[in-house]
Amino acid sequence: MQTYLQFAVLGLGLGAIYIGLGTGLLLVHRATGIINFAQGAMAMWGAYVFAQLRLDGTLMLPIGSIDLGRRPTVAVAALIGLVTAVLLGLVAHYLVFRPVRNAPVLAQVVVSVALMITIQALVVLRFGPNNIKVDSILPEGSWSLAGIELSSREILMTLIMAALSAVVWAYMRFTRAGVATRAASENERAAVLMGFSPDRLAAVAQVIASVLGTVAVTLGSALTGLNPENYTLLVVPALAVLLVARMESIGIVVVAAIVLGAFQSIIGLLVTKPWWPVWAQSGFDQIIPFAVVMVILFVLGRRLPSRGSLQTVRLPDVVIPRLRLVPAVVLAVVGVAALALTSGSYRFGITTSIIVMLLALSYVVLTGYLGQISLAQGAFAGAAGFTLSKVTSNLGVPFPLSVILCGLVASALGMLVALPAFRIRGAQLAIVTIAAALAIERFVFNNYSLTPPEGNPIAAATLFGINLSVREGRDLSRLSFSLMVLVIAALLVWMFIRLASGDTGRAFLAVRANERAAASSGINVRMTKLIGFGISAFIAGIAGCLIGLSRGQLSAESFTVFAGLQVLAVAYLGGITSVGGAMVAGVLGPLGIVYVLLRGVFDLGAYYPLISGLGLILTAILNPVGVAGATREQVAWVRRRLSRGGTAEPPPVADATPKPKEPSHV
Amino acid sequence: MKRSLAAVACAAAVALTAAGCGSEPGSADSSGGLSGDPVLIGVQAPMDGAAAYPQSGYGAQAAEKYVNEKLGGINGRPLKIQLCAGDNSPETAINCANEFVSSNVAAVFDAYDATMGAAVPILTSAKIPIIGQLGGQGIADALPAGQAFYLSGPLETSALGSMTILNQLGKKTAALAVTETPSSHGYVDRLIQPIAKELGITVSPMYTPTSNMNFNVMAATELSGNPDVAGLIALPEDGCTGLIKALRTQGFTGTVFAGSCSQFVTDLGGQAAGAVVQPRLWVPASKKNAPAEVQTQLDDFAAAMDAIDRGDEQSARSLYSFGGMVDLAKIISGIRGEINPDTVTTAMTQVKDYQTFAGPTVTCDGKQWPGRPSSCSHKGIFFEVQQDGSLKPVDPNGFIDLDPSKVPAAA
Repeated sequence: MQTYLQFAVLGLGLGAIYIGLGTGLLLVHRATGIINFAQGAMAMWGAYVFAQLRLDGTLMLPIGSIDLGRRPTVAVAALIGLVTAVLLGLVAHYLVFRPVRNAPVLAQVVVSVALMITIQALVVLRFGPNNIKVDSILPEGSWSLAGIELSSREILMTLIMAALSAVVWAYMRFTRAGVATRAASENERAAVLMGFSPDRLAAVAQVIASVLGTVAVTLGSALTGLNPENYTLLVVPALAVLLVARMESIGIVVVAAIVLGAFQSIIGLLVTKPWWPVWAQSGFDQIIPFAVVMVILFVLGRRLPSRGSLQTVRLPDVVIPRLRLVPAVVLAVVGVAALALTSGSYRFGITTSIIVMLLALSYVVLTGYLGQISLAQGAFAGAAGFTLSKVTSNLGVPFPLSVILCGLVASALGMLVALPAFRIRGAQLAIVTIAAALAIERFVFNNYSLTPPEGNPIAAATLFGINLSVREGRDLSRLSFSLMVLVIAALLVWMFIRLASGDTGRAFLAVRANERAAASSGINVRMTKLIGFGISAFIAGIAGCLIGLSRGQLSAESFTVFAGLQVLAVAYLGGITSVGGAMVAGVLGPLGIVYVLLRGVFDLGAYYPLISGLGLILTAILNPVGVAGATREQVAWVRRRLSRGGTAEPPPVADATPKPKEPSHV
Repeated sequence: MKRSLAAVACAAAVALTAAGCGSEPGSADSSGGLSGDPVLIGVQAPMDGAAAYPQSGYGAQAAEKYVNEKLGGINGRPLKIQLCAGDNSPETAINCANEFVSSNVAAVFDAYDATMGAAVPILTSAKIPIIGQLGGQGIADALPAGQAFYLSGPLETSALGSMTILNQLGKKTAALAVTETPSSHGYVDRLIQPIAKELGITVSPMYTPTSNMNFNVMAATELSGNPDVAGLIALPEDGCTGLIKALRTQGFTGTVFAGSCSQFVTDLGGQAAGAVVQPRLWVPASKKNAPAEVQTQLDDFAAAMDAIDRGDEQSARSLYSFGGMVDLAKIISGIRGEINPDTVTTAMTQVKDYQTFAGPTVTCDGKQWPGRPSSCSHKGIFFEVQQDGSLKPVDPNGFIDLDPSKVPAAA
């Protein structure tokens, strides 16, 4: 019992971080209606600034750095770290979140994910990818309670963060600005009419959240060190805490954070016990936040508050695709020529682009057509890839049956994830899917029982005696493999176009526009969602199999949460509502041909995540139809000019939701 | 507004990208003024990510400069390394291997990268030999004769050595941390545990995700079982230091086992005393107690690290890469004629009674370790940290012969 108490106290370190991030998430949600997936990443920046100052006296800025000559004291370094957090909060508000304040939830989720990718990429570039040591602001030591030695630093951290949360609570409860923030969250129009500026209130909230998170991470990183990954993804358990508090109560955030931190710490002790099953040794602590999220959303799903905001921007338009022979043949010829005329890393880059195009296509189905936000497409792809390793290496299932089988496995997983989507939507669905993706990555893909030390080798494909393996001897990218990928991609695109232009596609669009209206016109909304998730996950699964075949070996690294989010970034960048968008995404995608050129010709491979993150922020704000949509609009404009007003393209399908009136400006 | 926002954002993107394009220490010209076609060696080093050992790459960079400037290159030709930074993912190892094949490297040096196994099919298919100081995964070092050469022995050396020394010290229970990766699970389950069982030692492993190491929790977890020995099997250098510091802070006065970590000795001073370490070579901190010729070599190593502005990164890992690369350069200097994968392989198989850099005498005849023809040695060395921070070999002779028959996998 004594040991468990000691571990519960040690878990308070984690709990204190959850308090900081959870309270910040709640505050920003109340002020803007946005769930900020970048909360952990934002909190990390100021902590990094503090740590670097203490390491060598360098004040690291996003661009350039200032050498202070000698290491500043802990207090001065911490103060500079907090000033950085204030500035970051202001920049995030005015440049990133304010422009999408009235945009659809999809754009808001995408923009916060983009900010997360951008900050993480910037941290890697500025501070390096490796762990760095962080000085402790609080003294180390222990207190004795009834003869039990308890670590004092974790207790102090929790008290500090709880006190800061209490200050935020008092701000919301007793100050005019805080009350106005709460009022605006209930009814933004009324708050505007009463003379408040929701925009300024949101800026204040964003700054407070950034500072609170930075304090938490600065304190917490003294226990763990800092690296670009750990604190960025702590937003997931913090989101679980936020949901337990029903996005409303700061008091419950504090309590839930402490309980979750303590519980995870005790689990960490239990997994080392000899009686604990081997299969549950890896990543079990990540299951807990996911389980919390699932339970809360199932139990409270419909009762979670949403914000009465003023939406003025519609979801990106959809153009119903048509199967046209000439463009299809031209595309196929261009594809074959591009593969045949290149070799080595360039051919491999083009092949990867085709595979990423399929991953982006899975987003087009689910998000562009069905309007559902999933941050777990990478996990679906990974599930298929890992299954492919098992069915080819252990069971000897032949190609192409193996790939189809694994696509169906991904499809089943997708339909399982669709179950919460029956009750919830929008940002809450994004929370479920990112929690699921993280749990699958840590608990399944990284699981020793599934991934032996030799890795997950994938047997090369053969069909009718033709060797379709990706490499042979010194030939690293065989043409036959690349052509096989092209054929599979063409088949899937053809199937998608058939589907999108038929009844299913129309049902998807109806559900996207308005679920109630769709149901009243006889569409089975649940079944439609189930089909949408299934098809999308199937496409992602096939892409996962092709990733596996292209490498001959798979690990969790291919399907991390971040890898999935980067594909979302390029899918949105290319255009989330069209096949053309998916193709652009493929060209721009991770390890695709643009990446290969950036790396090989311009030596800029390290900047790829930063460029894709910034590109995504810009797209989400300025050009929600993506590169493909913008190009289509330009082409249509030129054609109209040429034909003197004649329509060259079918009119885009607009959402059924009426466009609200412009908000009154204060 | 939107246009100005876009302009600001684009300018920021360009500036951010430009800002990062700086020069790194060690990126200066390392050719030593030698002319002629460089001899290109690929180096796969785990330099990036949470479980990074960047020192493994620095050691290779220092060796490149040292070989060219102090040893006159390879038969007068400059040694050139193609350093590929691994991040503990097989995917990156595969990309690196593809680049090595595309660049026509003469050999690939495995700078103790735990994901080297993923590169094996590509490199063996291209008939490029893999050479390293020690194997990190039990895959490349398990290859048939003539495909890989590990100068100080295979992965089994570490497992057998660590349990042998704990047994010699009379320890019966050990709680040891290790990075949470599939290969480390395999290492513990397939090697450490069977050997420990044979020697009557109970080992409680603690798998730690290196992206999130809470040292207080780790130390408390290890000490919750009251072990004779606490410490680690393998962690990055900062992880070693953090864990050992937390163990001492929480009052542990027993034996600390620190794997092949070395930087904690400098970082922790007196708190490090009594810890047992198991590197593969005479490491810098052991210089005081090393033979005279090794002392000279360690001085050369220190000067070479200084020469690339990495003087503060002298560790077991950087020495492994440095020593291994210097040995490789000396061995292939004996090749008369073209230096390519075939001739390097032949030269390696002919290595006999060769005195390695700060290491044991080795013979790469494929018979040094049963079932592991890649191994060139079956010797081990262990040190105890002294109060003054120096390392003293547990056995006065330094290297001792290990008994591979105790390893079930190799039997």
